[in-house]
Amino acid sequence: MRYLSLFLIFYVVFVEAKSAKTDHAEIVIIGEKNIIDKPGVIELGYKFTLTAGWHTYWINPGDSGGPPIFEFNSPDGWKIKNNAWPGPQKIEYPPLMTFGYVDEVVFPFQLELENLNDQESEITTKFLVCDDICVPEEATLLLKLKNQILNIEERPDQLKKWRNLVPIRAPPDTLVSSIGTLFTVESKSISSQSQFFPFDENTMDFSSEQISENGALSFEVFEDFTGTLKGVISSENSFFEVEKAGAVSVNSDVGISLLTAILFAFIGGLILNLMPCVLPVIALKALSLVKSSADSKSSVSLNASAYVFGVIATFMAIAITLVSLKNAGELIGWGYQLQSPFVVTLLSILIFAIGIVLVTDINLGTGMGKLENYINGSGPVNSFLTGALSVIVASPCTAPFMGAALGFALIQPDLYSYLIFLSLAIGFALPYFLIALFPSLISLLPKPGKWMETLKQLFGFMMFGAAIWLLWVLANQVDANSLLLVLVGWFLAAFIIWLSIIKFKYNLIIALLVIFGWGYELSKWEFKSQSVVEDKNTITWSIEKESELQKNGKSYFINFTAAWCITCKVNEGVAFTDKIFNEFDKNNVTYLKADWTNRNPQIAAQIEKYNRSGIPLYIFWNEKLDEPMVLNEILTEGYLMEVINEN
Amino acid sequence: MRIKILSLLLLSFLASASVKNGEIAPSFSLLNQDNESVSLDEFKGKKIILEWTNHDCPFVKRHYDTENMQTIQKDMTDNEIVWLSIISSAKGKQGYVTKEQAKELTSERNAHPTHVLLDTNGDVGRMFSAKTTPHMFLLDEVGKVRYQGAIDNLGNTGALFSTDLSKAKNYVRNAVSQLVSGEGVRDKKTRPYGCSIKY
Repeated sequence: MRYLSLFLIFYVVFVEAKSAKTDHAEIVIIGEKNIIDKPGVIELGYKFTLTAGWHTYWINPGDSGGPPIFEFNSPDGWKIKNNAWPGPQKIEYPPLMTFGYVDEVVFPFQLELENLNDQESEITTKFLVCDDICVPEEATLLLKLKNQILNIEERPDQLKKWRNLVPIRAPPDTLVSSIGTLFTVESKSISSQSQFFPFDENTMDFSSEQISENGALSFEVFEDFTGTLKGVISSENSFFEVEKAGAVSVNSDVGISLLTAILFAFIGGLILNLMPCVLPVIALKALSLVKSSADSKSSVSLNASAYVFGVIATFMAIAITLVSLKNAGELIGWGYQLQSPFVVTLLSILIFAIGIVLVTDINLGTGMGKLENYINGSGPVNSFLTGALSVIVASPCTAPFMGAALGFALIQPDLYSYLIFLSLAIGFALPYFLIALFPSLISLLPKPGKWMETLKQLFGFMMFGAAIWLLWVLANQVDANSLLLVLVGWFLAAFIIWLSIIKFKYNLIIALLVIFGWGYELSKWEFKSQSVVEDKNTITWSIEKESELQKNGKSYFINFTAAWCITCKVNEGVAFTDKIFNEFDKNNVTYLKADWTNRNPQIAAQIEKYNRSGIPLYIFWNEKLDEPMVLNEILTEGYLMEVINEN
Repeated sequence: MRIKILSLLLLSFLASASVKNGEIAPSFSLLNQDNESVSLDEFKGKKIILEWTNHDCPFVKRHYDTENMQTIQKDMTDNEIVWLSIISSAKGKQGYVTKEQAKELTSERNAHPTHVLLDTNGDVGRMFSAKTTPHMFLLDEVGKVRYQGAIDNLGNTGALFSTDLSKAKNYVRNAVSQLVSGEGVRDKKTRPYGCSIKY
């Protein structure tokens, strides 16, 4: 009996207490001050002090463990709410990775008081506390308001410290991008110590390496990861949340992944060997390589390797030039180049001319066979030069293919451009290399013949297709008379080529005259902007219009587009269905269109404001959003429905 | 930075060592509680369940204290399914047992594994990328992995310790019955929960 009463007393003391002690933890509710003089929201926190070196877990515990849970009832006049999770730290147990808090943690929460009447609530917490081993523990606390005094510990400093660790909204300069399974988050707030912690357990291998430097953080997600990437990123002394929707569309729907691009580039490189100006000489060259090696006593493999390096070095030089041009272009806003009708005109004529060259019989690439004349002698240095020259000499034949690689490379981060070109180079050099090492492989090569010519001509027609597309872009920019001048340019290009086919004596002089004359016309040429045709439903975007809608609390969607932007066209075809426009109407969303087909400084400035250098760019805003929301670059109908209905 | 990203890509490309659903699980042989060598190959033609365990882990304890694990083990082994309990705790770490202790634990807890296998150096655990105790794998008759992950959906700390485990959605049971009925396993991969394996 004595024991029982003792136990009872102990029990009462326990529940009365604002703090509770378990084997490995002490929990106490802390706040700013315990005198409560008016109703309202009071900031509080559960403070866990753990046995030194032990830890408990974040909301996503990582590979093992589990987050604490809190159970309570909100009595009359009280609301206990907004339990928050401060950003975690990595706790590693290789090969496992867990996320949590070592030694101590405060989970902030709020108590909303409708009045100052005496009231109390029991709060039970169940949690795991671990070092190498884990112990589940449980404690009950009593939060009690009596005579306007709340039974908490006054620790404003600690509460403030941990509240500052609760993740905040991503800084406005945050940019999340993905290529395949690789995600990159860019922001000035990211330091070399930054780390990404996903909320969802099925996002990524938690112990996989993350690469951080000042301004950018990269990590890989699971191959089968779908849905929205959500998590927090640690920066200097705080955490911020990131969210990137629809990673899956980047993966499989429209974009091609880096690995696919590399594979295609490699295959493209192999195909280059089939071009008429390359294939006939490849066997010859490979054999002469073997022979010259015998003469110079250096090994075949050394020579063959030197040749490969020569090819790779040349391709990389081309890549570096292109990337530099691209970066220079980006300084003035990528897309401007294509916006300039002059550039589009010249490009269309150039591509048309390449098409004619491919379809007709002119062979500009006979130089390959003369390589031996360029280089006399043997040895690895000469093999290297041979490799370099073979790329350059074969270029008239290979240019169309390079064009495709170039197109993809230009819209990729620099590193990927290099990888793609590297893969192209390896593909190009491989047959040559193998034949040099194993001369018997020659018999496996397809026999040179008529089919090569046919293949070449087919590529010529692809060029015509591209030229027509450019003409269509131009047709969106200029009036019919200006278009005529472009077609005259096509005509003259064809004429000059014909002159050189029939080996007309003065063809060079005539060509120069024609180019000069036409160029003079072009320089006087003023592009007349086409009068803007407006769709019935479309309201043209302007900054004034946008701010007016925002002021009146009216939702809007902005489509930054242009005739020359293929991705924009694809998106418009795929995602902007009648269903979507009906949904816009139903939800009172105003659809604004910002057409960047022609230069427009207002649009350019606005795009820059969203930290973009180009389009497509889609913006959605409604009253509930503080700031306009930047949508994915790749749209689907489903994704747009989600955006409209869930915000 | 760029070089690092590149190596990251290459690494992830090469080093996905974990077992994949639909692929044949790597074979292994380990010593059991009677010091006999047991190889995965000898169970061809039968379904196999692998259970990574650590008798001192509170998550495992909860499953055994409530007889939840033993009931599943019995139901499975009664249906000709092979149940292998694997202990990958290193010597001196939590959960490490000798053959004698393994036997004792089985009889004491009235467990029904086909074998208890001792993976003291952790090789097999690492081969399967086993992360937690419990961590479950289901292999079909030809040795293909059909399910891997948690035993049930009570991964959340409190839920595990305060819920009637028989009411949980048991992923292993579901996977087995879906495999038997031929409809295909619905939840093929879940994130395992529990204590880290003490390699």
